[in-house]
Amino acid sequence: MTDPGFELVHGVTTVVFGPNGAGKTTLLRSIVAELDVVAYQPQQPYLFRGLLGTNLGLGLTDEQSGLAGQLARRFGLGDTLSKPASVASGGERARLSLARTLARPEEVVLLDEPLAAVDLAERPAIAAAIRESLLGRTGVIVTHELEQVVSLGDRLAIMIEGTVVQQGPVGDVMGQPASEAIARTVGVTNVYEGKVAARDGPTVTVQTDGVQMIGAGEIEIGRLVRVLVPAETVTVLQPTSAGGSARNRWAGIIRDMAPVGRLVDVVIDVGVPLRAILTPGAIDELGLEVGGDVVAAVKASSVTVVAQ
Amino acid sequence: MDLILDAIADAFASLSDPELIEVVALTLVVSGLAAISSLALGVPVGAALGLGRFRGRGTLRVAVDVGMGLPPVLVGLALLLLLWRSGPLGSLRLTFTPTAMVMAQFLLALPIVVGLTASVIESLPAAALEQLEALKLNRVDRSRLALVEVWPGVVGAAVAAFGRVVSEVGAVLIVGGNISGETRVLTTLIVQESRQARFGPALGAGIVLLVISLIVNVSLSRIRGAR
Amino acid sequence: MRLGLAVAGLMLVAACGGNQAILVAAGTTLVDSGFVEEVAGDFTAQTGTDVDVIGEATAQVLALARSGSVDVTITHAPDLEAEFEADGLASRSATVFTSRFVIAGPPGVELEARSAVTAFQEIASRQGPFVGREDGSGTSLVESAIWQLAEVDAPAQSWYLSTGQGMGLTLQVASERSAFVLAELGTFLSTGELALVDSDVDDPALQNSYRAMSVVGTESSTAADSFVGWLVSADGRAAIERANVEIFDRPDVYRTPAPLRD
Repeated sequence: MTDPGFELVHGVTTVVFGPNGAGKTTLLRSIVAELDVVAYQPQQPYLFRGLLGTNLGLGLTDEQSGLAGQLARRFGLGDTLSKPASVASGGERARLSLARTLARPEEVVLLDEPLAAVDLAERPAIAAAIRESLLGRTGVIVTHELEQVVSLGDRLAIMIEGTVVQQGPVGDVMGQPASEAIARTVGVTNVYEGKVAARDGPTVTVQTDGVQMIGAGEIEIGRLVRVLVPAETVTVLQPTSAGGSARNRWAGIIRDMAPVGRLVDVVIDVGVPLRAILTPGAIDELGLEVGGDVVAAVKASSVTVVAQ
Repeated sequence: MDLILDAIADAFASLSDPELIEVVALTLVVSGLAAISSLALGVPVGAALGLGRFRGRGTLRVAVDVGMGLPPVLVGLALLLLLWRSGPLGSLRLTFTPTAMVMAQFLLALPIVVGLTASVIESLPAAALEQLEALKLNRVDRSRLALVEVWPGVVGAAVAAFGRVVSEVGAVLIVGGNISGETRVLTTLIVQESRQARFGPALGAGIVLLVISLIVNVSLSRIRGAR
Repeated sequence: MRLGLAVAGLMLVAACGGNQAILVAAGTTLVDSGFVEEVAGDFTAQTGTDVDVIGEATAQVLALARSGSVDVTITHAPDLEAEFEADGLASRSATVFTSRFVIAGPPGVELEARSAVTAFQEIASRQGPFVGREDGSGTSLVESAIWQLAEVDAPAQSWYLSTGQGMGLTLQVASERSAFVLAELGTFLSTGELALVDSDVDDPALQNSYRAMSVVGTESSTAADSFVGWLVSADGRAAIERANVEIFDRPDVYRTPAPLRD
């Protein structure tokens, strides 16, 4: 295998993101082969004959088993440990394997799609447990879902066709794709950090460093979160325009405009930098230019809020 | 037609012959011991072969493939040469003893047990093998876990090995000598009786062998069906 | 297997419409050493008639002959042969050569007895061990006859081992078990690696006569008759003598009878 160019940064968690077939699993396996001393959870959790509880302790010392037990209870597996492995659901298998892998003592932890088989409702809690377990350790987590990138990773490595095409802090990589190919593959997404200031049913209001954002997410007030605003969902309006039903409306100044293929990447300062992807036609119609005042609008349903 | 009908009638009459019962008992003991001892060595070796990355694995694989198709008479001849009184192991005085027969059948059964054990382990899903690696168990625990996972296949290997040796005649005749009351088993008895045109007793022994073989194969397919 | 090959061979010959071939069944003692084939080779060379040879225990040979499966038999069981001839199944018959039975035993164990019966009694009193064939062969018939004369029920004894198999394997077992055995001389000489010695008991009871019989009414009965006739002719006797030297390196294992009995 050729060197995919992945940079393993110790002490933080890197999420490897890319389309199916990009070589993410292969990358993890090559890290396993190279370092050997790693805790590795393969993509398809496999349970061996016996009880779930027996499987939980496989390869672990007594002390580590205790830790795995705590994690398993935290993952809602407390009552299921005396069940035979053969009747476990996909979600139970995934959670059990994850608990066992996280309880391993190795400094480097590799997880291949750890949340893929986990029910949506359970994901935030388990993601939080993963973050906690990996605190101070070196994590590499493969996923193909953007949301998990934001909830699990400190760093992000984008893989396309067997190669890591861009890697760096999550916000940098997602907000500033290094090439058109990357932008097309993963999209351009504005990522902000903030704290939940208010909650109203399925939406929350997040106070970021400079602006308030309303987005979808059921997270309690006071929690640290990341806010995802995909660039293609940002609508740019004349400052005088009053139309539209979008709940996020931010006044700002255009700082930069750069063509990205047939489209144009527009950077607007709304208190924080916000990227929008527009067609050249829209830019002409609105008469946009660098330094001009605009209003940026985004529907709350397009904004995703993820607990950190 | 009379010949065959008479033989069948005689065959059933011969089933109550105490000598036949003795022969059946020895057959089961010899082949049973051979199968059990081949399991004791063959299952761990097969597990290592199925899971393993170790030096000489390729050679072992070839040896097992060759061994699975080894002609029993050749095994018998090789063993006879080794055990012959003036041969390398002659001081053991094992020629024409049940021990020699167990040894011959052990040699015939071993490659089957190793080969089948390795192949059932190799037939584990890729996810299971990858998970097995990820658990970072020591060799023994890893083999044990894999074997428990495929236990019906391992029992199947044992039964298949027993089935092969119990119906084999070449090796046991050469190293056992078909001595009445000592080394006479069902297959060598059949050879003896049919050589003398005593078709009834030959067929009687054949019926017993067939029943044993049927039981073996039915249980084999049951086990393979289990999971 | 051998029968199968022989039959296949015959069918091939028949299909080619070539010379008439005959199938000879002889005691394993004669066939295992290659002696009969050696003799028959001369017959083929002189007459052009192919001879296929199979070896079976005497009882089996005569059973095959009774079913018409073979053309000529060469056996060494006088009672069974007499019965076969009395049943009118032999077209032509003759004693073609003789050998002797050897009472062989482990080296270093000398038998004092000088007759077959007393030797067997001595073996019984030493508790053998003795390896018998019990396979319906001429040798085993002679052996049980001697046990009977010795008034020993040998097969019932724990020191008596019975193989139910041919002479070669029986000799091997006797050798490896350091046991006594009654063996036909030719097979005794032609079986390798034996730790057995001839006790040199010379007794008319150990005389071993081979009788050839052509079977009545087989397809090749004419050739079969001429084969039996040839065996006792000067040519046949010369072939037998030559085969002795060829196979055993000595002229006197299978001796042609001095006065011809027919």
